[in-house]
Amino acid sequence: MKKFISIVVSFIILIFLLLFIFLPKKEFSYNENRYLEKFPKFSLNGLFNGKYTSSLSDYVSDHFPFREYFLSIKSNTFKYLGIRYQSDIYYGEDGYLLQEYKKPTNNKKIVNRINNFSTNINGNVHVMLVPTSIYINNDKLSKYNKNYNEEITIKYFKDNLSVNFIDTSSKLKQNKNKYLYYKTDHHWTTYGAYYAYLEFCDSMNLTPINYKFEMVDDKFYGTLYSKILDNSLDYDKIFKVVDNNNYVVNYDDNIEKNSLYNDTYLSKKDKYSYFLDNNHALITIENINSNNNNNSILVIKDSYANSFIPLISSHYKYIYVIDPRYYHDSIINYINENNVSDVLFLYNVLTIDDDLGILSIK
Amino acid sequence: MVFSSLIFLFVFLPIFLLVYYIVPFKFKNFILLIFSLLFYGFGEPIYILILLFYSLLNFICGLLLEKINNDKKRKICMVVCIFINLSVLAFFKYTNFLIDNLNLLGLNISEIAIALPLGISFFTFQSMSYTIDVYRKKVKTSHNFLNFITYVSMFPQLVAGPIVRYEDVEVELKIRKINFQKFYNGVFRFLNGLFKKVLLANNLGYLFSIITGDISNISALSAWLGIISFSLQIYFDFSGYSDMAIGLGQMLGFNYPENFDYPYIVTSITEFWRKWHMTLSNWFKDYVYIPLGGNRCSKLCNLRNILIVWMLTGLWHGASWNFILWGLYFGIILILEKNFLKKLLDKLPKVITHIYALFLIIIGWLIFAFEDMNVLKEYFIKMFFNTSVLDKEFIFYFKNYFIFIICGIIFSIPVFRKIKLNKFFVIVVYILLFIITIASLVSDTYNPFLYFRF
Repeated sequence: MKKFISIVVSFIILIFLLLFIFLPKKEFSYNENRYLEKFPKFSLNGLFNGKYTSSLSDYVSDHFPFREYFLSIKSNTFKYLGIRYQSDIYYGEDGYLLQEYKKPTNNKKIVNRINNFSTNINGNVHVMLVPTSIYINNDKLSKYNKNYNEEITIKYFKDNLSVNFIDTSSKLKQNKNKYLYYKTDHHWTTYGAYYAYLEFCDSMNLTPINYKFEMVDDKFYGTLYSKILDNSLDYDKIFKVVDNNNYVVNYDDNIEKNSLYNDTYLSKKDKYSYFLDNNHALITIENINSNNNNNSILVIKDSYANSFIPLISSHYKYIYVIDPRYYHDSIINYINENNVSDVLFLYNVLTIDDDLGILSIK
Repeated sequence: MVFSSLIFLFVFLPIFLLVYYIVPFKFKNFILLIFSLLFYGFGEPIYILILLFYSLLNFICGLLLEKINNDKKRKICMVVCIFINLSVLAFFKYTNFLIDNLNLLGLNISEIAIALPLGISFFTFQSMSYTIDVYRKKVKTSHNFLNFITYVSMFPQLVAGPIVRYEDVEVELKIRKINFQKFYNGVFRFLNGLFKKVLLANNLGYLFSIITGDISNISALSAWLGIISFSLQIYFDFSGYSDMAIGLGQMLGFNYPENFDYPYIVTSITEFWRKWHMTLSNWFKDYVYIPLGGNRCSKLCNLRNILIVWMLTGLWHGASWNFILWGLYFGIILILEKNFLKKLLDKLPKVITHIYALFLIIIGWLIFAFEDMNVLKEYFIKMFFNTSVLDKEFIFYFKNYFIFIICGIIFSIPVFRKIKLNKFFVIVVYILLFIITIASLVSDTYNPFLYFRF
């Protein structure tokens, strides 16, 4: 018995060693959204500071044969053993993956930063801090969880911000059954963005447009799927709103397009980047069909805004979109130079606490 | 490098074994040495020098002890050698602890930036045992430096024990049998350890870390579940590593001493310490307790000896007061058991004494687990004086992780001495567990980014 086991295990190890050595190595992992480790160059310095050997370890792990199949095996095995919580994600009902919200530590700092920032601006400042799927779709979550209540954070922001806070929670909760959040991704769907948009219009005294929705993709596996690689999960669908306006869009001052969307992402893994072409430091959107030259808004945001901005673009002549993780110049100067009348902070509760950009806005 | 890693299992180990088995016997120690230095140097290249230093130091001392005939001079030679060994260990491990304590007394010294070489507590004790045994004329001086460095640096037990004495490998270093049966036994033993570490210890450790992430509001049951998972984790982690070391040793033709013998089925603390980390307690018994007089001196002297040994045992585990407290905690219990408690326990039914022992062991782990005394206090309160007994978080932890707790409890008991399983079933289970182990190791290195980083 020990003989058989030893022989099989030794055989498996030898086969994998050979496969590891001889199989061609991939450069980029679509599911992990990162470049895989390259074989490290030897240097004495690298050897003594540990970087060379840790890179070697990473190289072996990153290029281990059938890596993603093994991840899938682990996730599925754990799922069948009754473990409905993996990689900070809860398995919810109806195929919903719900990303855990942990107790935040930077609420006070962020609120103070936004308040200070706002005193230096001539225009109106609004903050929309949006809850995520685990809060709105809490009926899909097992009542036995250790999730932190997002409502506490939203209330803190609402009570302590000295600027206008747009509270989208009730509108989203009322419409929770309308597929407001993706099942396999941490973002909201265009429907979720739409109900938040209704709340936005209410707060800004705008007349909301009754958009038609058009499906652009029906085989979307998002960021939460990527952490688990469970292929039995349902696909998500991506929708856009029908908008006949013409736009001139500048992405980081060097790519000019006439669309708020990038279709090429729909044939890749990271389909959410279809909205506003993934991440850019600065995007300027000019609405050709708008006559009111003084109507502008600047949005300081995270990726939730990417599917929200196409809903408000009809209402403004100019929209400036800034991602403070990549934009390091003075936003205050930009606002004043461009005579922006309204500033909107749009973030989701889950990622704002760790966001690398918002604490250094200036 | 750690045993439970992809690079060790799939690159280092197969290549090493192939070379080791192919070369003729007279080169095997050399190959073992080279790969051991590679293994250790993989994580700590500079600290290979420490291994070489210890080897040189104790080898030379061994030669001197052979040459010198004067008893008094021999003793001085041994003491100086041991002192140097301990000074190196103390320098790396206890300097900052000393500095912190001097600062508490009013001084203002800054800590030194020094990294602890992996395994130094183990191989220092291992090297010292040789010198003391040569002094006592228990083993013959080694005249083969190659064999001696191999003894000190052999990678299977280098980093996490068992603490192997020279006499355990003296014969095998010169001549050892390597055959298929030993290899199969070694692989099987190694796999047992690997499964304990990756499938049980790592997951139980994860459970402990999420329970103790924020203890300000935990319920009593959650706190108990946390410390139970820690108790299981540390057993499977440590005994798993010992199993892997012993298994590897068997594959190479060595017979390392056992280190664990189902320590959680005991009915007294005295019995616990005869089954937990046996090579360490034997080391302290032979090289500290008995030289101090053991129990062959006055009652007071014996008491002193026990307390010294246990204080040192605690200190060996870590440079922090909670470890010393942990050692003394057991020292005192052992004194009590030895003097009157044992007689009382022998009269009670085994179920009661088993619960007694487990309770004290778990409380011991509580002291061990928290270096920060304030956290320790708070956790203790949450376990015993908590208004909240059961909460939804506890049910969450239990629902999701009970399988590891159940398996942890089952495999702490020598179930397979009584139950004989169908061979085919065992083969299938082991192969499946091996695949799940690989999957777990891969998953630990899987690292998706939400946002593309450029």
